[in-house]
Amino acid sequence: MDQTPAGAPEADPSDQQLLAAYRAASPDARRAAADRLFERYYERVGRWCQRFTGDRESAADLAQDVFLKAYRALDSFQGGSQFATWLYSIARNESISRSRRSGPRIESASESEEALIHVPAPEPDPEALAARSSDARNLHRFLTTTLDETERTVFTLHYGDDLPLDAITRLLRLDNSSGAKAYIVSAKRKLARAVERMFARGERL
Amino acid sequence: MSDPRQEWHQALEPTPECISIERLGDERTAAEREHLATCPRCQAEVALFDGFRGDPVSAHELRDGEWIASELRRRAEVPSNVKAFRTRRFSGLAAAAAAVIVFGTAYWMENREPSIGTAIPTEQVYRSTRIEGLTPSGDLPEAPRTLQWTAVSGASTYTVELSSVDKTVLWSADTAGTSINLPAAAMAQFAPGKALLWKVTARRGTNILATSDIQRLRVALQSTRRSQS
Repeated sequence: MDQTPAGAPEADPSDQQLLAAYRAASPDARRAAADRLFERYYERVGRWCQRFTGDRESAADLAQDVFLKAYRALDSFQGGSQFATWLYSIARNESISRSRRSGPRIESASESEEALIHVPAPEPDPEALAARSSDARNLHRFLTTTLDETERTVFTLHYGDDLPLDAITRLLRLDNSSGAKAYIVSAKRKLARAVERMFARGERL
Repeated sequence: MSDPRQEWHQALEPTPECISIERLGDERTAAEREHLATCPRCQAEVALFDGFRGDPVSAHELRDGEWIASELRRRAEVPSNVKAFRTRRFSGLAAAAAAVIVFGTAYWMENREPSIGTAIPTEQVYRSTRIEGLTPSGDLPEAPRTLQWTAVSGASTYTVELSSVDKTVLWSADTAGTSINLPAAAMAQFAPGKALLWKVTARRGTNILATSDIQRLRVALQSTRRSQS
């Protein structure tokens, strides 16, 4: 990702330069220096938050919390990643955390007539991490070979991150009439058939 | 019978090989590209990230982005408590409601019958304050040694809970301060690539004064390998 947002004049300082100015600023000037850095991302973060929430007011609230957290964590940013990606990670974690707090949004009855298939339970013991990773890799391979890319992504965001289907539709910019819901229905149907074929061959997931 | 949604939830957790969120904007190594080709978790993260950096956006989105940015600037002008500004446009309504409450309460206090005693609940939430400033959160280079948060006025103790992503509490402790050093039992819960959650509850006696948002932590694989070597 570019170090300065698209459309910014070339003479604008880079994120690194603004970060350096923030770190060199006197205590009284640090807030203003941080604001100068954050402000160039207000629109980008705001747009992403709006895709997440679906309305401007909630998006502004979410974006405000994102920048508040970013400001509080700015001293701990070591520059090991690009600033924009670091800021995105805060926006992503805050958005998903907020979505989970608002409760489960998985509408099992309305989203599909088909039940979700069972998968082997992962091993919670940290010492068995290798076995867990192996199981996860097998499942990931199963998803990769069974579903197309959009189905996999929608399935992962919905069942892995509990994201509501309408938010996934906006975040992935799906322009089909029923959005992410159509991909969930087709994904579950394909997975169920693939599992049936595996069982018929005497194999297990 | 277990819940298949919960099973998938856990199965779709990041593995140690998964690309850290903060590295999504960097050029990928050959190993990362190879992993990405077969990992739905990372593919989903890349798709989300592409939506963040993805231009062009529609004219409608541009307008909304400008509105949100102007709203953030307006709120940032508030010197102390920025969140208070969220309610500015309701200030007239709020003032009227406050007047009703004040005069209504005064009338009720003047005319009520003598109290015959009130049962004290064992755990009561006084107000819906949020505890802010929880650090760390997100992807970390190594397991954190300390968790910290901002103080809540009137709190005498803070209960800290570390839990798995299915909300099973793995470790919990109370402290009077606004930070806590993680003991070995808590540190042992961190494994490379495994996500954990933590939160804080502020109490005065048995009463809950405030709660925090749930924070997600995950230790990157690379740094753990370095620290082990």
